[in-house]
Amino acid sequence: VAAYVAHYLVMVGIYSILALSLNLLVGYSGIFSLAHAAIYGIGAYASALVALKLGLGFWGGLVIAAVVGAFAAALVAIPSLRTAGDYYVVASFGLQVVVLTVFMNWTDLTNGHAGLPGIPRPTLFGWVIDTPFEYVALAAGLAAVTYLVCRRLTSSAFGRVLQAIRDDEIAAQAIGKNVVLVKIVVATMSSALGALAGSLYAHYITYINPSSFTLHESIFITTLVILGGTERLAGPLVGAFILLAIPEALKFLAIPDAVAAPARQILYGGLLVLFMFVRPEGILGRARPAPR
Amino acid sequence: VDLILQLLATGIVVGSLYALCAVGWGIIYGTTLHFHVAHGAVFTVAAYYAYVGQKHLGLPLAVAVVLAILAAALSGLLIDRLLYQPLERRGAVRTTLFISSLGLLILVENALAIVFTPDPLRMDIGVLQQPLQIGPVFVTYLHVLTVVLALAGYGALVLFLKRTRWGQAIRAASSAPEMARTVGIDLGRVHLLTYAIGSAISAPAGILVAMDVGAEPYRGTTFVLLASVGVIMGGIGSIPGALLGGLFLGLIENLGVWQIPSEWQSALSFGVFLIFILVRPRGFFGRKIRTAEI
Repeated sequence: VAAYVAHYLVMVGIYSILALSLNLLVGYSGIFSLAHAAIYGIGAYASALVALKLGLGFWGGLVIAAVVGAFAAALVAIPSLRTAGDYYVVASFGLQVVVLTVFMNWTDLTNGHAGLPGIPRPTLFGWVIDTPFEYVALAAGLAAVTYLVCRRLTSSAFGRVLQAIRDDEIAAQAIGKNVVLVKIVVATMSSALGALAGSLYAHYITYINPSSFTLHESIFITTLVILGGTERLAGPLVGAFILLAIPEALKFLAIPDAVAAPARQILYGGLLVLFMFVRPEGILGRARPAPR
Repeated sequence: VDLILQLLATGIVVGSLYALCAVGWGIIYGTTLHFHVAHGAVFTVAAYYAYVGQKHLGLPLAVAVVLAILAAALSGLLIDRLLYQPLERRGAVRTTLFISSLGLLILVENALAIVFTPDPLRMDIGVLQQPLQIGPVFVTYLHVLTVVLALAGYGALVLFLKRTRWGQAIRAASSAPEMARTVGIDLGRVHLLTYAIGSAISAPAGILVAMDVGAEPYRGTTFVLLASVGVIMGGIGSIPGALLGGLFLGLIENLGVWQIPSEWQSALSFGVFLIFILVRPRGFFGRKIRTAEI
């Protein structure tokens, strides 16, 4: 049971990083992305590949993951954020499709559906992190770092510009803020942080394949953010704790596998619709002043 | 050369499906500015309406299809009436509407997967699956029907928008909503009508794909997002633009197969899309980019 709880906590840590980083976009900038699972996957694959092919350790992989994740996001953000917000939804979906296609079909690099096994465990000063509890500490540590980076970012002058853009883009532009540049920077930062979660996941499970990084996963991460609350930094953490517990709880009901996966998706979809009616600001959210 | 002609024909058929989907989605987006991803649910469920009509109720195919299109139009209208309009009355922002739309899409797709299994369900289409040879190109009667229906649907929509009072009301609500309200147009009712028409235009695409390769629960998501790509490429608010955008996507996807392995098809369309918005963000015929003011 202890190992089971530890696994749950590691996953909460990983998803907290994903949700915190996505919230920089969705909550703090009002930009909707459907590509966060792709970014997560890019982090996982980048980190796994440098470990397997170049023998670089976890910490090097973490840095590479962040750089590659940021680069991929910038590639999409630069054309699409120059225009209007809705374009990013479409472009990020495009990124999700393209990235998953690469994972599945560039078999020389990614080994296709079979995935990449044998990813080494992280080491810290020559000490291998391989027990569940050590991994909980590592995941919690990285989640804490992500939290601090996000807090630093959102409480800075840069964060206030972001919120100004979200609330009234034209006014922000009118007072001389470079709206496009700010949006591109935040999309890139969000992805760099999200890719860290991928690296953490790859070295924890030690095996990755494309099925962990699908559009459904993107929607799941979005659900964590929305339900937890987009207006506060801690909102996504609450979302991760609660929503990761639900599938575990469902395991105790004897539902056949073929039904369980869609049933979970129905639950997420239903919760999204329900929350938009009763509590659009999420569990931890502050009610916003009525919009115009 | 024969191969290129064959790919061109397939491209036009697939492009016609994308075009129907894009025109339906585009008129809704252009009029209401809702990023209506649940349109994918309408697209998908239309195919299941037709399937149930033929297989479970024993209706002739044509009757089942017509009833399915009407049911899909009603479904689209109800989404606006029961989901978006109540949310808007509570002062919801556009992101809220988008999230509720996404939630509904996931809900419907997975409910269909549980009820009908995730496997493709085939209908009996009789003579329509007979092959037809036009010069060096092989297609089926169904493929020809697809292209004809796409053009007919587009033509009917354009006539409706230009010649009828309700059509003019939609155009007014789309190009100048405040002005339309001032002259006494009930925007709520125009939006309901737009949802019904947009759904009725896209439903045949969902049904035609299902007639060709079977009804599947998760197909709508890809189609609706490709439709939005087509609409953006064509220019938001432009009906001919949406038609051409959809056709263009079908053509690049299929002509791309000539040089690129087919599993890279979807990556190719989105790659082209990214380059496209970099060089011409307004699309072929766009008036201006309308969604900056949220």
